[in-house]
Amino acid sequence: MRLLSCHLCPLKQAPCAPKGAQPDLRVALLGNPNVGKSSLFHRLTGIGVEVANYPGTTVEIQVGETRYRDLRVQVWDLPGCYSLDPASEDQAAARRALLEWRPDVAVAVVDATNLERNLYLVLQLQELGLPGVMALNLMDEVERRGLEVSTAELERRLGVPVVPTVARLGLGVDELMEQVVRVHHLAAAGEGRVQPAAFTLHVEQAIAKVAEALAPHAATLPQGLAARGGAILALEGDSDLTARLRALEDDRRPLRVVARAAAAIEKAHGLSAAQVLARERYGVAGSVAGAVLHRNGSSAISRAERIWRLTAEPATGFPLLLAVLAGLFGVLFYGGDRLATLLDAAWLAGPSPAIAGALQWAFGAGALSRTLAWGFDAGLNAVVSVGIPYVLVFYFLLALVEDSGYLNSAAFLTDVFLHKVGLHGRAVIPLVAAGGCTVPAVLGTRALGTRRERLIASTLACLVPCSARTAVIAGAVALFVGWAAALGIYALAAVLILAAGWWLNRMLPGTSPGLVMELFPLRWPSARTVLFQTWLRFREFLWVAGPIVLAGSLVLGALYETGAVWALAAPLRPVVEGWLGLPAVAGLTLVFAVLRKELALQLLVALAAMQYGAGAAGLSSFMTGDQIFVYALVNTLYMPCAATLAVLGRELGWRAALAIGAFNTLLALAVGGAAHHLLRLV
Amino acid sequence: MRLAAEGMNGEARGNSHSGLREQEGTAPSPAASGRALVPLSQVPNGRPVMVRRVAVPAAERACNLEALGILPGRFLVVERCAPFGGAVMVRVGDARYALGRTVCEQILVEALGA
Repeated sequence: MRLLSCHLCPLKQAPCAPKGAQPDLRVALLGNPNVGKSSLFHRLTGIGVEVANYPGTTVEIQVGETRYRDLRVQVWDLPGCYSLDPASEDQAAARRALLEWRPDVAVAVVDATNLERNLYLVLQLQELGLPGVMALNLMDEVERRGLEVSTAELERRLGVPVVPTVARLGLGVDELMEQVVRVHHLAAAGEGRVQPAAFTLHVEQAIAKVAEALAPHAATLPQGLAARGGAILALEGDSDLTARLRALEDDRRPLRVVARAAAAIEKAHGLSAAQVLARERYGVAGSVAGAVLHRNGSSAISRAERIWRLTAEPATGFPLLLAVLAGLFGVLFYGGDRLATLLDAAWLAGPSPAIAGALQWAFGAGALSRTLAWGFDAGLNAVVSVGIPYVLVFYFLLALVEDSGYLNSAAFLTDVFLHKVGLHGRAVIPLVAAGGCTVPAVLGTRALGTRRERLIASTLACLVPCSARTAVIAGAVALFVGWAAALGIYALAAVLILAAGWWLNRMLPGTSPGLVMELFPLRWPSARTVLFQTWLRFREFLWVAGPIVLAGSLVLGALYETGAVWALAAPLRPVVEGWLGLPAVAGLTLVFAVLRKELALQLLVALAAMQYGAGAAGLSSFMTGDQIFVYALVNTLYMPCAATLAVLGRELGWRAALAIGAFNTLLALAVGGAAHHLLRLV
Repeated sequence: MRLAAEGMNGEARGNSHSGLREQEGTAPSPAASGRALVPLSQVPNGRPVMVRRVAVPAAERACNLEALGILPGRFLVVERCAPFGGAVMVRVGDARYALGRTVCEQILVEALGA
């Protein structure tokens, strides 16, 4: 995918406009997770969305453009967050984007059915002093629940324009833009200053003291942050700001004043200053919500709520979870496989001969054109046959289970099991999806909060036999050795996954945070958002994996077509023949199977025919049952395929991708060798 | 569940004074309220509780509990627990959260109601 150039921009620059031109107005969308922020974003912008990464993180900020009247408006979809404390990577990125990229207007997207908690974030946003507009979203749900929200009263109490919206249906979007432009013009004229809600007198006094000490160091505060906003962050013990204050070598006063003020608050309340500030914000949020929200009669339990209870109640939730996971696995495994076969056939019928013909026309029929065919024919085919059946289908399914709120119910039930391997409940979906294809599983680990969890989940996902590796297990082991041996490979993989998870959880520094997750009532996902998100992910996969698979295919093609491949046999021999007890030619095919794991088998037969002549028509003619078992086992566990490596590199960095590859390869060699020696003894 | 929610509201009103006093006054302590503090993980289903102390180290949190309203002096109801010692589902205001067992062990609460 075409990443925005701000990927490399220095920290303090705003996201660069996608086509080089500066927008007239930059709008940031901020809100709690699952309040319809992305729906609003996709309503405001169109298909031409770019995904930016906040510098130095994997946190995504989607950037889109739209025209409103004669203005070029750039819209940023910040990650969903509950507060602006940098407690998680997402929240830290959202906050830094607000402070350092400084949008012209911040739109707080608020869930009108859960005002109190949502207003907490709005209050924090006001403390930062950014010009703002509130989008009061999910107004249809408010009506359905027999609630009523007085927008006029909300505006009066918070001092910001409030626009009721139903983002899923696009209602209120024009009016929202109208208000955004109005607020922007007012702010540009130096009017319409935000008046943040006041804390209690005692706390305000502490804030004032700190603000006064910070006043001479305005340049130390994040760009454009008022002294009061800085004082609040400092009292909360914000690590970013504290580090900046520590760097003030010549003036220790601000740090001292902050420490003294925080201690005074702590002494008076018996709670940390951060907790006191949070409690007071909740006090304000609660009183505002209480004043503007009216409940009309008794609220009946809705149908969505009743269905949701079935998903979270263990007696019904576990069978349902099993059914959903089986469905997900089935669609990816059988549906994906069928689609991949169809696409393969279509590729062979259309593009493949055309590409081969074009290459032959340009470069003749020699090794060069055949090498190029490895890349531009087989390589591109590999990208398409992983991309469409697995990545596209998986993202569609993931968006469904995630946006509907079901993923969280499933995570609630499964957390206890995954906690043992350093993961939490949300990892269940990527791990099951890995049974279909590792690529979407790795991409799906984004739903996990920390890098540590993503690292563990990705490593384990790479060990789950995907459908391509299953093809080798079924086509070799089940066919020539028997079903019991084939199932044995799965059982062995399962044991290794548990052991690896347990070991990684102990070995990796830090601890995985305990589960803290909101549970949502089930909601119909917005078709528009699901389709947009699926398309974005798919496009991203093509851009990330395409070049790497292409390059890998060209290298392997050159090795194969020039005959250089046989030179590799000698260095591989001690490991392949000596340790694993396999014919050297099998080792070569394992190297090539990095391109596509199911290739291993086809190549094995092809190379064996080259080496042993026509007598090696079938696998069993040159390998024993034990050898076939060890071969499939090693193929299952070792180095993930090129497309997986590409997404691992993109998600976790190249060092982690190579470490996972090395870990899996060593594990495969250890287990494969042990299996060979044990089988010899039996 | 509805009964529990009503119970919570009733308790919330009934206890708001003592909560306020502590807010303005000195540190909350088990002795001040006369009721024992228990970890959230030991609270039975359907029971409304008041949070008294949140001792989860910042590094072990997926996101900060303060922002979710899980704060000393606020009320929540334990709705259900996942089996096999799994996560605990709590209702705070209009929101529901799933909290892992280890997190719950570090949140000390005072059980309210019978």
